[in-house]
Amino acid sequence: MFLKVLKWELLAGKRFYLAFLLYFLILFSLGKYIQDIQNVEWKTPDDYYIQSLTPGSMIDIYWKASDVWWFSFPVVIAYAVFTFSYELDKKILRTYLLSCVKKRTLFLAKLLSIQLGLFIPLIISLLIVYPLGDPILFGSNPLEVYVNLPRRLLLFVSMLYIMIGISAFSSIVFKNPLYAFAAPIAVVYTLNIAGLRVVSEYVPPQCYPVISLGSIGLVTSERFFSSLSMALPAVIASTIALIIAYIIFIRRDVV
Amino acid sequence: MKDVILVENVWKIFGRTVALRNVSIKVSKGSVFLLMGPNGSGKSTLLKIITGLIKPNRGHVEIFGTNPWKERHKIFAYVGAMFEDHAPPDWASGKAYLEYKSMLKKAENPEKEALAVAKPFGVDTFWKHPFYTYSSGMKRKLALADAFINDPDLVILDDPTVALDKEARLALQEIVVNRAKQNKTCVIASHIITEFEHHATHLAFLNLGQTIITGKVEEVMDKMGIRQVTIKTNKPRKAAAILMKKGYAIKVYGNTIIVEGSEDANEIVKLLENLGIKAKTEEPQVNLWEMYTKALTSG
Repeated sequence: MFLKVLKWELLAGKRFYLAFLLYFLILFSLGKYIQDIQNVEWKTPDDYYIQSLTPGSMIDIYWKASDVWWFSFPVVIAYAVFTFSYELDKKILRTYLLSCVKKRTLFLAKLLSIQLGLFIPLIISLLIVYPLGDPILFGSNPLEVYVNLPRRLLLFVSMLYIMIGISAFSSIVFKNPLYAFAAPIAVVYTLNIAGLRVVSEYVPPQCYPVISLGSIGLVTSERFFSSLSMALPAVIASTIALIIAYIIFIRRDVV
Repeated sequence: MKDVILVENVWKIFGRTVALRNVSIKVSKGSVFLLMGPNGSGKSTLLKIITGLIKPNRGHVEIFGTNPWKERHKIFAYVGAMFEDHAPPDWASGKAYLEYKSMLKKAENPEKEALAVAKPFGVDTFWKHPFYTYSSGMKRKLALADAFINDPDLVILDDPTVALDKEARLALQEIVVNRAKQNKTCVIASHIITEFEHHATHLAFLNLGQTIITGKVEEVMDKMGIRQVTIKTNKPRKAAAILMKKGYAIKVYGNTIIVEGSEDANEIVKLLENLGIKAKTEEPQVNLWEMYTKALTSG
């Protein structure tokens, strides 16, 4: 049953994929592509050397973390809030629930479909943008263009997960979609004003604003786990928000 | 008859509003159960409790011996329901939606089932159009088709005839009558019911969240002191004039005369035949509207 419900949520009548594909393509195309080979300093306690990087490795360096975050989160939150507030609107929800589907199945399918609904266009846009950024490298060694892609995607997924968790919670707590949208935005701004930048600083790790201090293009294991650990509190908070949202959803009357 | 629905002493409170106060009803298998009451009387709330969408604050509810709040997903294998503000997603077509709902109701062949329930209401005419293009009548027809997926043992309809055209009303009436013949149960809620007036076997009147009266139609008539005799005659005008002259309160519908306040049909038939008018008694006709009005006004 779950897979069938998920399939309906993902495929039936949806046009979001195209909209999000376009959105991510535009977002990523705002990054500054570097046309020449760059010499970058590598410093470790034991080593120092200068490495030549091709544009393919550099594509995402100049997409500043804050840019991606600030551009993404209002859209992602709006989408998640819309999906929860509108498509799990009581009338529609009631229509679905007058059947053999469990509330739990519906909630999880909706949640997963939102995550996938964002993630699928995201991965497609990255697969398009990276080769476009460095066609020469892509021609000679396609894998080099997609270097560390799984790690980048995982970090993106955690970013989306955090935003979706806040949004789902907000949509279920606030019956008015305007509040449902405004609340998570306010939370994110407040978190940042308060200096709790863990949410926005970690993603995407390849996009640190200060290039010379970062590992530039390559998401090293150190950077990767450091980013994940920085994101962990927000991921846990999002999970708690989702659990509370789920409990409210399961227990609430569908008037 | 075995109870398909059992509602005992149910209360539902929304904030400061008491939607249902100690409501109790029983619905027997094979019955056509009319739930009537004015707007805000608690009909929809009661039906939502019965279908497991709302949890009652107090009281006991069973549907096919199961708690609907806990086992809603199980009972809908043999229950169909529609509510007045039925709302599939705007982007879904009638076809996609009914096929999906058939799948959710575990139909063996969802595509076939969707088409089968759509046809009687003419939903197949707008088969591939998205829901947002539907008129209010078409939306209602889609909701009705949805309720009859899998030919369920029990169908619960909340205000089913609103916005329906004549053909659809007749189709619905025919389906309900045929289902009753097959010993399948139908619960219909409305504040205005005419189509099912003569097919109802059981009634419940709600007002201000309370059950005013409930039971078999004849029982309800008895409880409310409604006594009437139905006479069929070949000279209704002449017969009406005679009966009125004799002081009877009557209503004339074609060749049928309903004599109110009387229980002795033979006496009336004899009276008319003595004056050369052919007359015979008929099964008492239910004037639901009158019963409803009386129930509400008598409190």
